[in-house]
Amino acid sequence: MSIPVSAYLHGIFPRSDALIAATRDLERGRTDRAAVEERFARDTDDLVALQRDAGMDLYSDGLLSWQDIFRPLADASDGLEPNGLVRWFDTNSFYRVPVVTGEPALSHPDRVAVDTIVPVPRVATLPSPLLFSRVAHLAPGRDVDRDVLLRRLAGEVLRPAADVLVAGGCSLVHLEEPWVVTHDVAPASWETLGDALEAFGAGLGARVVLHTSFGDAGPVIDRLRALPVDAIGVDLVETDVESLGGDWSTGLVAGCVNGRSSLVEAVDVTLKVARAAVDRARPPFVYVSSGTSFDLLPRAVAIEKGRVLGEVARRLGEELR
Amino acid sequence: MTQSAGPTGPARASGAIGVTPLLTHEVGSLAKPAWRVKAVAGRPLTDDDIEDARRWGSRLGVPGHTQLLELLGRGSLDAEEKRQVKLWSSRYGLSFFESAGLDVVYDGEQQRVEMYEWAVRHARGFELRGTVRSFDNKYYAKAAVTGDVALDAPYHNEEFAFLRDFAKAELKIPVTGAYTLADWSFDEHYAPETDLTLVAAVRRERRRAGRRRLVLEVARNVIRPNLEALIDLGARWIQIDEPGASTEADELDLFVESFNASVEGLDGYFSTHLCFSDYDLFFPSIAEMSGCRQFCVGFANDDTRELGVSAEARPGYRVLPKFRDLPSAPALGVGVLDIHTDFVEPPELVRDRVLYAVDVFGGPERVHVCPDCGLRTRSWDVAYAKLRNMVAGVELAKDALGI
Repeated sequence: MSIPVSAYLHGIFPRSDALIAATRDLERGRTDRAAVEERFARDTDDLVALQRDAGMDLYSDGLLSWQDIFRPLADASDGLEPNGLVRWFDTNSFYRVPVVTGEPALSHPDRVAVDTIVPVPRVATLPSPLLFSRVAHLAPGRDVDRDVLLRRLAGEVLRPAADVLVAGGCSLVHLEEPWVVTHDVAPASWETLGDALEAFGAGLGARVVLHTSFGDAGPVIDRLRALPVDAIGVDLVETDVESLGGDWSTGLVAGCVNGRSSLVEAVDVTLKVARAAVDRARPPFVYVSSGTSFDLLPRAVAIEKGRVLGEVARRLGEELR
Repeated sequence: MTQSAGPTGPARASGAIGVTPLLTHEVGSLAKPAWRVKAVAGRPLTDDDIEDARRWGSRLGVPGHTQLLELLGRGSLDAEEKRQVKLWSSRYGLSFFESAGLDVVYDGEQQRVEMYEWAVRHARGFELRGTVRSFDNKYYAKAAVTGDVALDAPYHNEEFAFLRDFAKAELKIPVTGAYTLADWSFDEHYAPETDLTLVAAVRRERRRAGRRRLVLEVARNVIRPNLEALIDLGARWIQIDEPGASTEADELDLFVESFNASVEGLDGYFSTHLCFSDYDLFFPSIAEMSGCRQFCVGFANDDTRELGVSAEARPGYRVLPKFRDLPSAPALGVGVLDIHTDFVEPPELVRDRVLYAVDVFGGPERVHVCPDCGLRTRSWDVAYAKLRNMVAGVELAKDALGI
């Protein structure tokens, strides 16, 4: 049986040292906005070239201007405000916690639009609604049920953002969902997540991926596979291939490159991991990607790992043709 | 005139440390002035840079600072002159904190590149790999551990020996802790993980064992010899900075073990600095840190700006009772300044945060007052205004308490 294989990068891609210096200089009044924008454009060009050379099937803009996965959404929405710093899972990277101050609704969709320098087909990354609803803090005096918040964020913030992204050429929306594999989630909340994802994907005009990372997907794999999305992603650094189960009816995102290690994987070994995952799950289609996004790596390491991903996808595609 | 470190300081403090109620101190870093950065990097200084050196030298009352102005005015500087600029920067940093009215001070880490990079550059077994985001547009240089870790040579001695000659207030030396150094590094040596074909449980166990070995070897082979060298030089209060301590919720015991391995049996006043964490995670593990005389913790980042001394008014400080109830009864350095914003906390807000802490602790004896963390992301104007207000707020609290 032939299984289509594609590759893409998800999440925030590391900035170049030159861009890091430019943003720092801007904050210190040593350069102007135009110079920084030019640097962003050059980084984006370089990232596009990397993806093209590596043979990626979908192009990411690397969310280069995003400081964290929530910040632009909080900035672009009524009823949400970015506040203090909170650790991003077990890393030394921090995000501005989105604080619910009212009824969240995306009010400035232009702020989440994809960079049009990036070729099509494009992939967009957003936080999963469950993750978003769990990390958010509630402003003093606000008492909102987390599942109610989940629905609200999915319907009024994330879906409008996805509509903008799809209109901008994105054919895949990748939802980052580390929460469900790192925290206990009540059965009712799984159902709420399922309902919210169903509504999120209905009529969107793009595939939807729910990608787990930072944790072992094995214990919740049946829950994940029952969700109404086009593909489920697993972080194979944390998840055993055997725990995936077989005969998947959804696509599989094989997170087979470690986004948290500076050691660049060998293509042969990584190919073996991806192949084992496919042989176990037997999904209708496969995306090859990283376990976590590459923003926890220096850019040079991320570039090397991106090349590995492309090569693994190419060879896996040949094997499964 | 050159500035050199002497064998003994003119104002080395004596007596018990940390017993002053509502003692005020800084936490560590301070932004490096543009004149220091540019001069050391060999970049041309502007008139504004030199004016900045003049203005702060005068404002802080840095003795002899006109010599710095003369030095900066020379243009191209040789290696020794650049070293002198760095020393002047340390003197400015020291005066900055003393002039703000703090009881315990250092130099804002003006000699160091950055708290992590400085340490790994002076230790064996680390290789820098590139820059990684910490938050917003802030990045740090991250290293990989590529061999057995060990100390090259004590890397805080020179700055401490220099500062003790000039300090009027008690000095507290910030030292980046073992757990944080290990956690902020990639591991390419102790438990390198490249083969995902192995069973995940086996890989996790190897990772755990490798991290344990790495953390404890950093504690024993890098941090402890540093502390011993500082104590030999006369250091009394050493702050072990551990912003990474709660990164792995299931490794709190390892963090505690590494702290104990670093300080056990040494003759000093040791504190530890924790920040931007879910502090509940630290309990009960840190009850085993009997050698830690003070915990310095950031709280303001998660608090409101409203006045008030009730628990409802002070949501950022909800974990205080757990620190109060630690069996060894350490002091708590209560973070009252949010270091990630230019908002200058009014003295009244500082007062209320302090009074709330005093209320929880049942008295001021074990309460110290500090910023949430180092102030290096703020301009000197903002940092100074914050610190001055912190000191003023403590005075208001003392008035309210009648002490």
